[in-house]
Amino acid sequence: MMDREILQIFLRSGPARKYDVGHFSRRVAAETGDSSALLFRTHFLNHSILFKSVVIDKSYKISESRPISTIIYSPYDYLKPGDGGESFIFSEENFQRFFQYKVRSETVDIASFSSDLDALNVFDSVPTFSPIIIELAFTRSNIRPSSIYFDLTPELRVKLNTHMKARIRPLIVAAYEQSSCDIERAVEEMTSKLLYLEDADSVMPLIEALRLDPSTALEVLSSWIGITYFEYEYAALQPQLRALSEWITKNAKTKDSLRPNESEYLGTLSRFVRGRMKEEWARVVDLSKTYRETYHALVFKSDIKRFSDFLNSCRHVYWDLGETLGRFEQATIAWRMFERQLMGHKPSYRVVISLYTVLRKLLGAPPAATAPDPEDALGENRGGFSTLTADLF
Amino acid sequence: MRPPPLPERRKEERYLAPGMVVHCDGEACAVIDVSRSAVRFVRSQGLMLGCDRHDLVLEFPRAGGVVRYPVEGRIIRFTQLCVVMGYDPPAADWEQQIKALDTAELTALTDF
Repeated sequence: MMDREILQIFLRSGPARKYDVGHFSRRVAAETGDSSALLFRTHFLNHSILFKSVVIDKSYKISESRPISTIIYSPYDYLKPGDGGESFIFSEENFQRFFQYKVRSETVDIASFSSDLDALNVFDSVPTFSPIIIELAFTRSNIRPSSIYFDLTPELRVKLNTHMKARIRPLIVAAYEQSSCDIERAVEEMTSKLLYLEDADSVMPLIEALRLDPSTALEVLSSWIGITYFEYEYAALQPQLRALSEWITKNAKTKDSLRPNESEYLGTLSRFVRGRMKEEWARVVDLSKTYRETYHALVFKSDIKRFSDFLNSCRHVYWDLGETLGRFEQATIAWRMFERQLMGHKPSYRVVISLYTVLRKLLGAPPAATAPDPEDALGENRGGFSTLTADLF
Repeated sequence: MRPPPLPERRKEERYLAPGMVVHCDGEACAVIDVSRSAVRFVRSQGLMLGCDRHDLVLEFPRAGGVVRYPVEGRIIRFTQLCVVMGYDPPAADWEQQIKALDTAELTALTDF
């Protein structure tokens, strides 16, 4: 069971927070006619929807190593996901228990458990469901689902790859020119290897040149590449956020004449929302600045230490930027829906307050789901599966 | 009249230009970075660097098609991995053109 109001908001999220497996499964079935091309072998997973959410534990703490979790939502009616369903926070243990519960009620090939778990672990290994991040994560894990699952047009894929390679190529040259290893491979080949990180041995000279711990180097490098991609995403989101900020300042007028206390409440809310947007955005700009400065220090000034220092902290930055991107994306979606519903008319006081309340919750604190009691991880003691008690809305 | 190239490339602003390719004596090479009067590119295996001057074509995609600028390249330095060549800027607004391609320019974030 899941709170319906919260569910509606999760279902209206953008690609940073929502991955509709069911939608892609239907496309794969329609376009290939081949059921073996589906991502999962388990029936319910092929109709599930995945969400990213901050999870707060019983002591109200957010995990530092993995601040964002993956929620698997299995609708009761696959074609009407808004009507409710079952959900759980992904972990191997939770999945195993949910799988066993499903085995009792439907025919499932138990042998499929392992490969499905591998795919779910890939989804869980990244902070967002942005298509290029998902595609890179699957490629790195050597799992090759149909390209339909990545929802990237060939043009966009080329554009993003070109953008990231343009950033990686100088890095390869800077790092390898300082490496004591013989470079036998061409720079272009190394650039692709680093982007997809399929083969740790092939990038070992780079790992050594950047003074990375080999045991965590691939995760660190994939986080840095993720930040490189987020730079692109944030730049694309920037005009919309700026427009929202300006709308709050200039245009958020209601059609109703307001009493002083209503006017004051509206003003307080709008100042809070705009203030939080500015604050969060300034933090993103600051992280982006550090990313750029350390990159330029290596590429143009051969300062490897500053870059290595940033690399060693960039896993945290990657997850932080992913989480914040999801919040900004949801804020702009909420505003666009609000504008669409108004169709050019001035809103009522109640409607504006409703939008600000949503924005306040989105920007005021990370959208969060509370983790279930470990003893009751799937909510079986309550007669069902995990209840998503998100305090988002 | 075109401005002369700056004597010290490192004093120039360098740009990372996705999709930019340089053809050196007909050999296509990926560009690492480009400034107003010099380009650093990946040294491809077939590239012969015996003489100081080479035919370069600077090529990049733009709305409406690919743009190509033939220039004469002068070797500034080269390593096992890359080559740096200087050239005379091929257009009056050359720096604006390459700046418009720059990843840092395209993804710059500014405070509200």
